[in-house]
Amino acid sequence: MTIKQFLIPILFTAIAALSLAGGYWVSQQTQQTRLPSIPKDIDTMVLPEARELMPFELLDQDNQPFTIARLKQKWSLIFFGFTHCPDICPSTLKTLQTFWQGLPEPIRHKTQVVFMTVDPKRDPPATMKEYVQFFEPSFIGVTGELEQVSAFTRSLGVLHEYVYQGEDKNNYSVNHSAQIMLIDPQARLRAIFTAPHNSDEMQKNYTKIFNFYKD
Amino acid sequence: MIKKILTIMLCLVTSIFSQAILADQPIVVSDAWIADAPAISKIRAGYLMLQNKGKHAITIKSFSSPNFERIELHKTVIKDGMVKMESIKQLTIKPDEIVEFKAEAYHLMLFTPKQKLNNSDKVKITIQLEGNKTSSFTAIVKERGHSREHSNHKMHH
Repeated sequence: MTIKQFLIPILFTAIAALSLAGGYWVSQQTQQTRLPSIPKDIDTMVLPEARELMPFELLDQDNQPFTIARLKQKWSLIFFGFTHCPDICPSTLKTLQTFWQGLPEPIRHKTQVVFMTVDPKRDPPATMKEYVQFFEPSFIGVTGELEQVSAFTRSLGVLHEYVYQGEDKNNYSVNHSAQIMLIDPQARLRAIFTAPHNSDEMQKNYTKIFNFYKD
Repeated sequence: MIKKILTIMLCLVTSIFSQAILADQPIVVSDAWIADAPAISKIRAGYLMLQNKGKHAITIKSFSSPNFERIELHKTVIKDGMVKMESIKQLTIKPDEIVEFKAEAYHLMLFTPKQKLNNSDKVKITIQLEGNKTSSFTAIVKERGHSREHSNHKMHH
């Protein structure tokens, strides 16, 4: 046997051993950063990694500051709409009312529902208060300067556009996203409930998410 | 005596004339209701079932009511996660076709109520059909989530 014939098998063996060692090392690194897998039976869009929100300055229905601090320590469901909307907005708020009333008290205690206007021009705090409290006294209505509202909706990927009817600048409707955003107690976007909304399905999925992440 | 005879004749003529008009209007309206809303809401939604029981297509041009400043017909469309309300200028219903006005679909937009509306209040709504014909029905104000309750009479023509 020549030296060449002897060395070649050793070389291949060495390469194989190094590959195995390298693969093991990579898998160990991945193990440390692997995210907990989301339960497969949650039938809504749960983000693999929660997304941090950008700071914002809005107002609640009592004219009090509504900032990112208000989204901490509780789960928040945020729906975007406007009070001049006759159909989808009150329909969704009705669904949220049913959803809310069906939550077990321990979960409800750590949850809040927020209705945020995409039409702050016609929806000042007092209007938002009367509107949301018609559906549920504990719901929070949020409004603010248009620039702040737009920045916040943009940061969440929520769309809205004004559709004017004729020449009158006060006669317009607002097309808007129909999703309900779920924010975790660390004020991060965690999941998205897409339309059409069903209160039973939302309760089921939200309860699973709540229980999965509560520790 | 003459007054009574004239009154009876007037009633008969009116009845015959009405029947003649109604016989040409095969539209049937049922389950008409207006969703209750916060008092601050200037726009309400109205829902109903419309059926064309005639042999020809009918075209609805507009709606009106003495209780609202104006009424428009709209359709909610959800596409790519975005909600839009499409204004419907006229609606043609084929023979035997039923069109359901319901949440997140066709609906009436009732602008600026002229007085406060409470649950169980009845609102008269008139449909303007093509050919200058009209048809009226009554819608009942009620809470959302009960749209399948039978809340008004059917109009047979």
